[in-house]
Amino acid sequence: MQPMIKLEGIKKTFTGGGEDVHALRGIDLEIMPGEIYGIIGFSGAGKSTLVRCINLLERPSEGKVWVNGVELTHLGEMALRKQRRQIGMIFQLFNLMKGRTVYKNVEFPLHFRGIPKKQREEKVMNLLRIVGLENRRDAYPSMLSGGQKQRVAIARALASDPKVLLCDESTSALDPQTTQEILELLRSLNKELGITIIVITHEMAVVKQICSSLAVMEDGQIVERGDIYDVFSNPRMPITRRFIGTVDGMDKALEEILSSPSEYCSKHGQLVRLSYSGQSSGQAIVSMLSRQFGIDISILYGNIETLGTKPLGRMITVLSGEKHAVDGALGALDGLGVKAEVIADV
Amino acid sequence: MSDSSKRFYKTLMGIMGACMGIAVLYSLVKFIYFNPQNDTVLHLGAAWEIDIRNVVKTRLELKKCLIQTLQMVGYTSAISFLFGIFFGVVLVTTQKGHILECEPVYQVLDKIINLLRSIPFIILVALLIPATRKLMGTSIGVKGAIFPLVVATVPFFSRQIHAALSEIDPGMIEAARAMGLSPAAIIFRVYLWEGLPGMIRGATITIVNIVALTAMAGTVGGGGLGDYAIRYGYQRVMTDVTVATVIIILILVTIIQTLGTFLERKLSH
Ligand SMILES: Nc1ncnc2c1ncn2[C@@H]1O[C@H](COP(=O)(O)OP(=O)(O)O)[C@@H](O)[C@H]1O
Ligand SMILES: [Mg+2]
Repeated sequence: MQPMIKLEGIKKTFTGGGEDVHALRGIDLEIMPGEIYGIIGFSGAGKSTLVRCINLLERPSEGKVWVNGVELTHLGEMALRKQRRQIGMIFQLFNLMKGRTVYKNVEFPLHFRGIPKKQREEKVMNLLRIVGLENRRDAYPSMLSGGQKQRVAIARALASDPKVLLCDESTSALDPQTTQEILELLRSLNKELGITIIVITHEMAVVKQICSSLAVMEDGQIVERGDIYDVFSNPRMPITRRFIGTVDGMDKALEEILSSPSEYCSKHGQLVRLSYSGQSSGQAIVSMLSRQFGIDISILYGNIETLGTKPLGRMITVLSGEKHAVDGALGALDGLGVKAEVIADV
Repeated sequence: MSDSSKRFYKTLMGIMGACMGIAVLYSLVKFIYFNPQNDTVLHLGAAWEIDIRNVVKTRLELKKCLIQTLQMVGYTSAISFLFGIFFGVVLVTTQKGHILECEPVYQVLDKIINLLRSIPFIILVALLIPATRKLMGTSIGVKGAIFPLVVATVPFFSRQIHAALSEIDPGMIEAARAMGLSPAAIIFRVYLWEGLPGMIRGATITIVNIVALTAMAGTVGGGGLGDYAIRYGYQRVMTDVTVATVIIILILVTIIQTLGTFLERKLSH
């Protein structure tokens, strides 16, 4: 299958204004059709610049961009504008036309495309139904809540039947409840219309909730990427761990335990973090090891969550017993497809 | 009180105010132009009697001058708006980081506008006399006044438009670009439409400014109310003429301002 979006060696340097800013330092990225792809990074990492390079609102200083098989970096302005119609975009601050009603906003991209008025109206009303705002068609943006504004923006982005939807921090100005609703809407659009969605965010909770894959950006580069399950169960870079830590009870629990181990564990042993595919039961793993190697295993913390489509189970345990027995158990875990990480001696 | 009833009373008050204004104007005009006794003393209640003998005496001149002023304001506004909107749009779109970024064009236009705005109007009129003669065939009267008025107003109005369009949320432009709109479409559908309230505010200020300039143009042979006030009120010491001119200009400005504010409110959401 050919990727919906392909970036090759994208560099972007902002010159002028004193020092050169290397916003992107060589990005290669492939996003397959139907994916919800998360790009996460702290402020200033270059996320917005990257997403603006996809529809060429920003021309990369170097590198090539393909969307749906068409090389955009190759095209002239006219042809590029035509291609942009199949790339929808929504923004952090919604960017609705303030002097136009909800209806006119959604109709905006359909004008001057030779679509009869009747057909336009049908389409707009249908889109407003999808985002649940058909009864606000004559309201002006200033009369809407943030969540409603973003719904209008989504309807507007969908008006030209895009193959791709770019979302730049599109829930960052919304409260948690509204964020949930917007993310649910995006997920259902992805499922029902098969739209490929790129979600730019600095919040791991957003990525965790809807993305199937993610890339972590730092200082203009992608430092880690992959299937969301793989990245969550096996983060390699410190920055990735930090992001995961923000949405993970695990890290907080671990911190708590390490600050006063004696309160949590009655026996001395090795503090071990286990990650396993949620399909197997944590309890079964523990009791089997304990029987087979004759060691005590106490579970201090455990949870299972769904990432993408797969459940991921994790536990913090203390393995106590003879040294060789504990080592043997750790070795056996590997064979069971359980990832074990020794944190400390307690 | 509910919102709709509040709006109702507000509208009612507005209509009543307008009616009273029109009634006062009507009785004044009637008094000056259509009183068979040729009465020259205006009675306002029992205590106030105002002698407007000179106004009545020069009423035909007053009418002519008022029409001249309206002509000058009308023509100058119409021509200046065309040019002003054009240059305003050029300024805002060629600025750094905007859709038609072009530093040289912006810099040159910006400097020319600043230069023209810094020349006092009276001096501008004198400077332009040869050009006015060539272009309009005469340098006096309404015809001769319009050219310098336009030259003085276009830079002013261009700045007003520039300011109004600069206020537009850049996010809207970004969204329009992302949708694949051409620069021309962005100018017409985003800048000129979304910037309309601000542009109307600028236009209101500009028209009021033109009224003031026409009064000045009068003193250098342009005709109009300024001319009238100088010739009668000042040179022949007819104080009632001066006062009447001031009141008429005040009424003009008030009408323009009220209409402008009303339109601006109506269009901003
Ligand atoms: N138009 C621009 N001119 C100069 N520097 C810019 C411009 N846009 C972004 N940058 C710089 O590029 C870097 C990345 O910015 P951005 O892509 O907005 O990051 P993010 O969206 O991840 O917060 C920042 O250092 C920012 O200051
Ligand atoms: Mg950003």
